[in-house]
Amino acid sequence: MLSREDNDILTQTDAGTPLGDLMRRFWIPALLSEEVAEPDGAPRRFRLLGEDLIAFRNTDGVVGVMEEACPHRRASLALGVNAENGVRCLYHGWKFDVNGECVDTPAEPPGFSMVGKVRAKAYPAREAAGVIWAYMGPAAEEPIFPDFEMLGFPKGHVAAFKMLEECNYAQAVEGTIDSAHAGVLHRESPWGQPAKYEHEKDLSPKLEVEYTKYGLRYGAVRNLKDEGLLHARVTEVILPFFTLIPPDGAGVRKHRRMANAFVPRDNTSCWHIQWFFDETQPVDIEFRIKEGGHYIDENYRKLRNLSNWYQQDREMMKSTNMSGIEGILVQDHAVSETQGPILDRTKEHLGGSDVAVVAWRRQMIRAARDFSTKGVVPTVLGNDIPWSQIRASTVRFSNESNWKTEVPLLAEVALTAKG
Amino acid sequence: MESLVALSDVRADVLHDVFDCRPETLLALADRVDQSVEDIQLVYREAEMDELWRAVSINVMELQHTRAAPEKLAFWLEIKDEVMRIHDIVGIDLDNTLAALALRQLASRVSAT
Repeated sequence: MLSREDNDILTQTDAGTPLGDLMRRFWIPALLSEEVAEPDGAPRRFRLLGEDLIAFRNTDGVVGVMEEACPHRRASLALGVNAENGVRCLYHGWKFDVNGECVDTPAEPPGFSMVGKVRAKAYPAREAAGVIWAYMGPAAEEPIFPDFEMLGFPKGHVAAFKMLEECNYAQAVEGTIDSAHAGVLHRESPWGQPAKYEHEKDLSPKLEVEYTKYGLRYGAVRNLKDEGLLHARVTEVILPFFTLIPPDGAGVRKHRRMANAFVPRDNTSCWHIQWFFDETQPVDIEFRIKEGGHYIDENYRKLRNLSNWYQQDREMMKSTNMSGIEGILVQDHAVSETQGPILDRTKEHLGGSDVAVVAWRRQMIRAARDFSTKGVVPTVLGNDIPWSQIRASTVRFSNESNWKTEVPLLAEVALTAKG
Repeated sequence: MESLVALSDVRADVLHDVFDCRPETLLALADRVDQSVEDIQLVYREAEMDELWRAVSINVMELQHTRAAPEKLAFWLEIKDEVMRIHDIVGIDLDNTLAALALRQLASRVSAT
């Protein structure tokens, strides 16, 4: 449960809002490399944090990200000509390079050239593991790039996906830090029939949270009564919107690792960017598409979506799975999107299994408030986070141990008591 | 692993279940809030306040459904507002002392009915 004021802080990400300004201090996954695959290819329009932008790959293969509207008369630069290391506006021919510098204004009279004077609002961009990242904050405050483990994986062992999620980013994040739903929403057998996987058997895992410099991690601990063991899934939650999901530790998803970013497109939709990665074998992309239900149109909108009620199949609910919806990802999106464009957290009824959600919200709201009122930058933006070592885990262990012992926290990211 | 704990258990590092809004539940929660000074302890207390709010809300829903006791309903609606206020003292203000005091006063009010 949140007050109306706190809910607004958590969900509003336009420039000028506490969280919107804070999010602009992070490197943000913006779009897939495949969207601007070709040098001198068509510019791509997209929206990020409520801003309408374009991306384009110039003649040299460098990607530029900038405001969609031409600074001259505000026509869309996405209509323009992308050639000779710049994008030229279709209206009067003003041309801009990847840094936003105006390099030609052919329609201006002699002596009135805008070259070197006017600039398009451009953002630094980088590519890593199939994704173009953008930094939308002040130049002087650009943080070090977060070199997550999967970004260094060899080609084939990491694959990036993207899908539009038609709701506020925060409820999408919350869906992935809520282990208790796995045995219900994703149950691969009809309700009332025996569960197929370990995490489906104990429907009320005990959740424990630990704050870290990068956000938090939590263990969802289940009791494997038949074996006299405990089973824990340890999920990593990295501010502001990243989650690292543990592999199953057994079965078809034994080694599957996954990272999520829920990037606000605007306040009522977000880009769900996912990386699958596996150190033991190349990622089976076809399998991941089928498993996730990752069937999309040219704008990355799900084919199974709210407008067709996710093609929910009532017969399937009796014979195959709990949800009657094909695809784990679509199942997740279905519950998040039907919470409404922006979840009204004043009306919830939370329980103990929601403690990781409570902890993440509180961190986010506090970080936004502290940044807005005191200028305090959260520790996740420091230079000392060992990004490549942050890893989600699944462990089985005896009753004498606990998940924090089995998966020790890196000393560099531990907080002192009042962190 | 922690399972259900006794009402007298005041360990702050553990998430406790809050199933009802009886005075003894409120007093036990107040004791734990008193013990909670670290951020993570206060998050656990906030989650417990969420569970308390749920328990009170269930009371309210039941009274709204039966429409049999308007005075009782008005009383529990006030309690619900107060629980939300204390929830934010824990979650936003991080003032465990004030929150514990408010919970004890709430226990007295509930006990008097």
